[in-house]
Amino acid sequence: MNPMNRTLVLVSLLVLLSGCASQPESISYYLLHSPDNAAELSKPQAQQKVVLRSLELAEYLQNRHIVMQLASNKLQFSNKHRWAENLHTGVEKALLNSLNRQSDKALYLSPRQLGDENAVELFVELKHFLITNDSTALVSGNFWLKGQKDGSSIQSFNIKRDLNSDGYPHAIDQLRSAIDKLAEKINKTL
Amino acid sequence: MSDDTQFSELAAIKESRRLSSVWLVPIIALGIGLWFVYYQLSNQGPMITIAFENAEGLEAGKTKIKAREVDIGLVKNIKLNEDLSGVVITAQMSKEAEDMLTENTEFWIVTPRISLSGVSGMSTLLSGPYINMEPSLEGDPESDFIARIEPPVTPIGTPGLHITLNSNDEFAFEKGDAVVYKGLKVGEFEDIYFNLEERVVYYNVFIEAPYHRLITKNTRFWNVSGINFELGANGLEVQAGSVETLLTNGVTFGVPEGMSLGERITERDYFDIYADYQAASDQRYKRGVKFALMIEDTVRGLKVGAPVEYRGLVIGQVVEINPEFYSEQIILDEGYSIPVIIEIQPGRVQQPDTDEGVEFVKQQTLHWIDRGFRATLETGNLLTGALYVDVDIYPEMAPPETLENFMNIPVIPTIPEEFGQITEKMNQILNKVNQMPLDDIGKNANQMLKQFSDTASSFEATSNNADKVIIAEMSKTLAEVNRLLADYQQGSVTNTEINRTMKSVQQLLGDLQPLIKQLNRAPNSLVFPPAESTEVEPKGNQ
Repeated sequence: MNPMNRTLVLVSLLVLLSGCASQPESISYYLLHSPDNAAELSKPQAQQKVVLRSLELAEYLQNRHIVMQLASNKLQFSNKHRWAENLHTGVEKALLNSLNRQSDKALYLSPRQLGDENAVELFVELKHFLITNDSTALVSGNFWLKGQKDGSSIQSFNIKRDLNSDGYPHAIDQLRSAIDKLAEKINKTL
Repeated sequence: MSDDTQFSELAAIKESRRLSSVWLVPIIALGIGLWFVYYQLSNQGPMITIAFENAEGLEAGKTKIKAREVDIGLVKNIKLNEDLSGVVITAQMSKEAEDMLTENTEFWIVTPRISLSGVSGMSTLLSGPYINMEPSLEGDPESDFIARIEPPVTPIGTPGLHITLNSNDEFAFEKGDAVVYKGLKVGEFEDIYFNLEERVVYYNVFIEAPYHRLITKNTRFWNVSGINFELGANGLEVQAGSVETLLTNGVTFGVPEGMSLGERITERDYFDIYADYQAASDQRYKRGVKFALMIEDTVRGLKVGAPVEYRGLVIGQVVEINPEFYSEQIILDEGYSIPVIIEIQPGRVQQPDTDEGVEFVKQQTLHWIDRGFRATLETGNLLTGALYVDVDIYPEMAPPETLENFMNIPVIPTIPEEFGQITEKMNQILNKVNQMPLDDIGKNANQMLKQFSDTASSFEATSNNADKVIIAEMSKTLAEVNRLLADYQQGSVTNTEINRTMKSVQQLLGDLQPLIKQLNRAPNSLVFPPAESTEVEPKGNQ
């Protein structure tokens, strides 16, 4: 093979190889709780301590994909839009933050923050935490409080928030708003 | 009107020769009456007499005679018999019953009966007793009958086989007791009679069809009443028949193992009842060669019927111990040997059960006695102490100088029994022990014990030192283990580092998940650009 032909073959191979080059998929990560409006944990006037003893997520929520409901029995786990942290941690932080922001009478803590003292126990079960195809952010499940003087029964919640614009960022905001609504319901029950 | 009025005509009176038709009425009535009498007599059955032991519950004009629950007669008269030993009833039978009254017809009174084999006649509690007739069409016509005292166990005409069993033993069977075969009740004892001359109890037994076909010439019957426990040379044996025979009595039957079935029995035959299967089975060996053993030890535990074994195989049995008519010596004589008569059965040593077999076994045994054939009493069961006779060949034994006889029975020489041999050996051992220099051994032992004691003291001192060193080392090691564990406790630096690393790994795995899924979905997507994403994005309400 003469030098001319050799150069021609190399150039051809480079051109072919450049055709295989691909743009990597970009992934967006979202945080449920907002670092901007963190609640104050020092509440001198708080009369009661409430510990979030248990937060249980449905099996399909135990991953970092943001879930979207496409039909009554069909879900989409987004690969390009993901939670920046474990959803359990995210919901726990967001819920405790909302609860503490909304109430002056009670101080809500995670089990790690509670010492040996007695506290009312809060149990939350999240059955759904998703965005629906009909432009709604949906949060549903049950919660109950244990250790109150007047006792407490299981309360169900089914909170929906309409999506006013397209895209995941707005949907995440609405999910966060639904968490706020849940915190409001819990505070009313206490 | 004048007086001499004359009658011109006089009535002529003539005797009538014709009977008045009025007479027809009594004649017809008489005819009807005669016809009634004829009808009654022609439809009336025969009058019969039945002799009973007593007339308990019977009433003239009321008590009925029934066959298969159908009324076929009525008791007309009851009177005592001439020698006042019973009563005779006269009964009017129906016309239909005439053919059934033969010499085989049987009568008995039906009253309530409760026995181990069942309850019967309860209906007569309200209706009163009646006479039951078991009709028979076979035999000559008969009009005078003797009633049965009790109802027959088996109704006449039941298919099966009647046999007679007999026993010399102390068995006590009763009417209604069961005959079982492999746990099934196949027959019953019907009646019992005792033959005073023979002093034997005979039992008439009925075997129901189709089991009667099991009865052959070689069938043996044996007792299975209740539970039999036998402590013999072979240990404890427990035998039981069916549940019924556990509560009452019963016999079973079979052909002993090794015997042919034999010819089938079709008519009444006689069989013996044996105490158990073994006794029944042993009866197949009819012939035996008698030998005597002169036992110098005790015969306690040896029984008539105990097995005679040759290297573990039963070849005969003990037939007599210390015969009653042996008078050459008395028990209290010095050196009295207890004679035991055994029998070696040719059938058990693969010889024919004939005279030739007997002669062969006798000659062969005498020949072997010269070659060391000896008998000994062995303990068959340590618990019961039951003995059996063991015969074997001991080549080291010297042949006997003369062949002895006991009451014309050849004697097999004996060797001491097992315990006797042990005792002899124990004596030898004890003699050797006595000869041992025990004093010297005792001194040496004392010296050895002292040395051992010194050694033990030294060892104790050493081990005390060792304990201290080991405990110190262990304490040190435990302290280090504690320190090591503290490094891994929650909140420690190491623990925090481990947790942080695990979280990083978790995060990394989470990051790798989309890539793995993408590769799983499209393995070539690393080289070629992936197809346009089909993910649905959330849409807002417009």
